[in-house]
Formats: sequence, C-alpha cells, structure tokens
Amino acid sequence: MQETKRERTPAIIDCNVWIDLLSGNDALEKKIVEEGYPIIITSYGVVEVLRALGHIARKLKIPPGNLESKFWSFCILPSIDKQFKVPFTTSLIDEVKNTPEFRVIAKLLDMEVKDTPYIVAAFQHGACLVTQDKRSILVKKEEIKQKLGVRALTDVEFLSEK
Amino acid sequence: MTQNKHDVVWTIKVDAAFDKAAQRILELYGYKSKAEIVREAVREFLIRRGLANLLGGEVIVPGTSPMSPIEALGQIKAALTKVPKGELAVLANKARDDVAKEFLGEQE
Repeated sequence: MQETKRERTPAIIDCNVWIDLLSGNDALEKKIVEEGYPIIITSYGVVEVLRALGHIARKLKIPPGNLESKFWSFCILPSIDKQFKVPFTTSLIDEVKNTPEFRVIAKLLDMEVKDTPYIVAAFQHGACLVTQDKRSILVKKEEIKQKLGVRALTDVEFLSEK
Repeated sequence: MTQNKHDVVWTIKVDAAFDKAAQRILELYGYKSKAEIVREAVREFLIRRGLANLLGGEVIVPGTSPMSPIEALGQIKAALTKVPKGELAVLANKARDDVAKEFLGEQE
C-alpha cells in the first residue's frame, strides 16, 4: 500500500460509490486502497454509508454492528481522511446545523437538498465529488463547476484522475 | 443473542411514545429486538463518555479496531456480494433518503 499523495486533489465519494467500493469494485479498490488516492469522508457521509450498511445487514439477517465495525476498521486506511471527531455524533450535529444554507444552495442549483452536504464538503476541502447521481448532480456538473469550482465526476472519470 | 450463564435479564418499563420510537428503530435499522437496541444504546453511551473500558475491551470506536483495513474490506465484500448489485444500489438510495429526511428535513 502506498502513502497518501497529498498533492493530488482529494475526492469525496457519495454513498452509492462507497457501497460500490465496499461490494468489490476492483478498479475503485485499486485506486483508493492500492494507489492510496486521498478520500475525504465527512460525518454526514458516514451516516449515509452506515445507514446503507444497516439496511444491507437487515437484508442479510446479520447484526448491523457487524458491518459497521468493519467499516470503521476499513476507514483506518491512511488515504481516508476522516473529517469528524470521535464520537462523530457531535460533528454531525455541527455539520447539519447549516440546513437552511443547504436548502438555499439546493434551490440555487435546482438540486435535491440531500446532495448539498457533499457539494459543500467538496467546496470546503477543495475536493472533487465522485457520484453516480446523474439526475441531480452530474446533469448540472458544468453549472456546479462554474458557480462553485467543484468538479463532479462519474466513478469512471474518477478512475482516470492522476 | 445467545444465552450464557453469566447473562443478566433486565426488565425495563417505558412509556408508549418510547416504545413506538423503539418500534420505528426496529423497522429503520433492522434490529431484531428492542433488547438489541438497548444493548447498543448502552454501548454507545459508554463509548461517548470514554467509559468503553467498562465493556472489558469490546470497543467499536473508529480507529481502534485490531482488524486491518484490507481484512475489513475483504470481510465486507464477502458479505455484500451476497446481495445483487441492483439491490445494493436501491438500499444505498433508501439510506440516503432516510438520512436526508432525518437530518435535513427533506421530503420525498
């Protein structure tokens, strides 16, 4: 495993991309685990991923804590920059207390409010946003780039990032 | 939870609103029982207050697991490959909607 290369633009990956990575997308795994591409995860992102893992655990009839604890273990990876403190519940409260601002941004960009925490985090950390959300984000990638300077990438585009 | 001879049984009285909330948690998070919610709530309480040592080493705090990231990813992958990709995407989208409703007040 290589050390995280900080000179590269970090990426924020959305919940669907996380689940894709965790379910065995070899190309994403190579990029993030083997090449050590820097990934930022916020408390809001963590909550989405943990909730998804909870739903999956329910489907598999295994205890939710099983996948959750393994997710935390995976997040020890040096290339994953965790933007929250432990316990992360307080960080989440701090992050979502800006809900009115999220709503304003969503209205301005005509997108769903649930996408704005990712956009804001990418803006805040100078990161690109990797998403599979064609309907709300990718369709507006030019506008998001122009107004906020945030690059929204598909997972395929992300794989070709240096 | 498998019963062993050291287990202790708690009987807890709660009001109807609390019970309704616990029932909703069962539906949302997939816990098998309210007892499981209580166990996890107490575990989180101990972790948040820096008292996780009282659990005798059973700690689920980011960054403290003895399992390597690669090993953890391997085990998560092994579990997730049992669910079809399309279904995983549906569950991820459901999670996103749930969290948005819960934390951002976003309506469907």
